[in-house]
Amino acid sequence: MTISEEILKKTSIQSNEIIYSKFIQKIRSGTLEPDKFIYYMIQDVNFLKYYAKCNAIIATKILYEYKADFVAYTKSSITYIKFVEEYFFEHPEYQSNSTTRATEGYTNYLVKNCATKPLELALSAILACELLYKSLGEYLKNNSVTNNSYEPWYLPLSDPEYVKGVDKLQYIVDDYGLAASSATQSEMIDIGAKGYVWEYEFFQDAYAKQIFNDY
Amino acid sequence: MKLSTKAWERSANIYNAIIKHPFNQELMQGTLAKDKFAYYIEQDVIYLQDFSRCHAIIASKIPLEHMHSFLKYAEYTLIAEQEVVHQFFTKEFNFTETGLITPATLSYTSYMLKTCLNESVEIALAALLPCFWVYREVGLFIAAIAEKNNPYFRWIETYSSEAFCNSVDEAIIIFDAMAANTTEAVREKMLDAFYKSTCLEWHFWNDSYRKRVFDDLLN
Repeated sequence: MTISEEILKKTSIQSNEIIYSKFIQKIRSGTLEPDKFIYYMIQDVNFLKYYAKCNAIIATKILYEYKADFVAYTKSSITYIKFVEEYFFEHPEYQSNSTTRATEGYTNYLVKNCATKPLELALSAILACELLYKSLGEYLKNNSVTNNSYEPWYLPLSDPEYVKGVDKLQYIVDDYGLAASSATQSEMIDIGAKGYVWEYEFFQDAYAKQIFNDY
Repeated sequence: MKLSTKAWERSANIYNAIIKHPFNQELMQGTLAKDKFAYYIEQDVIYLQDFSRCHAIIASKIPLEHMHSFLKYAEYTLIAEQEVVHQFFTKEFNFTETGLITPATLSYTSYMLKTCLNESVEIALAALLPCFWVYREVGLFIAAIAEKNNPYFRWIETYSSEAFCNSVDEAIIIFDAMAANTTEAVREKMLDAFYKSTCLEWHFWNDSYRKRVFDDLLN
């Protein structure tokens, strides 16, 4: 089994919990409360800043033979990023510095792994987000109600260019995994799996409009 | 006003919540359940490994006059706290490891490492200082009330000791010295980092008390 297959197998419960979470189910039915979506988008903007930093860190270290594929992957989410940028351009009043525990925890976790761990582990750390969002894109495209006001959010996640980009990342991770020691392979799986837990917490905290310093 | 005073004032509510937290109240009374304390010690061992690493990162960046202090903190953290205190309790109470990690442990260690690696040394200092300072204040608070036959007296003694208190004073002096020599924008980020870490301190105790597990979605 490849590293990505191991991660997906290990996180099938978390993946289901996310798909059947209130947040995603209400996106599917088009009934998600606007204030919850706004709060999620605020968290996503924050997340994407650090995610871009992680991609930059990886780009400095990745082997030359994978550079073209890695660049193609980083550019593949351009449609989604454009949606996010336009969303806040049209609604500057939504902007906020408020973060959740999961936003803080997840972004710190990603940057820490990308900055301090070997490249294989950094790649595994960022894989969870892409695998999950690709699966959410497919699920929502095939199961959402028609004329769903949240289409502009989830349709980019099933865009063929985005899917191809995630596939490239998955291939890179699996290739690095093949060449890694069994100890590193175990760590790759663990780090990737933890990413799924963070993803679950991210959606939960956004839905609950949790605030980081709410003790 | 010194930046350290401002930082502490901004975090005063969180410190009060930490003192009032059942973990520390029960620690003070000597009634904290041993399994909760064991879990906390296990998390603390994980935390201190990265805490020590962060001090080494700061030592590599800070002006030479302060470098030895941070190398000393890195060493003290590993030896005095981890080896002495934790090994003492593991042996004394026959603790066994669970191999689990709380969300707060993972968050807090990630936050410290990320900050020490990516931010200026002043902000890195600010992210680490709450751990020292909060533990000193909690240690002194509890030491003033706890009985000598408190089963956790060794822990209380460590964090209220003169040596530990002096280290904290030294760290605060360095914090203020670095703050005085930087920009207003960086000072604001120092305050923010100090506040965030203080929040994470509360979560660390809370997660240990509730024996939360990072990948247990139903917990």
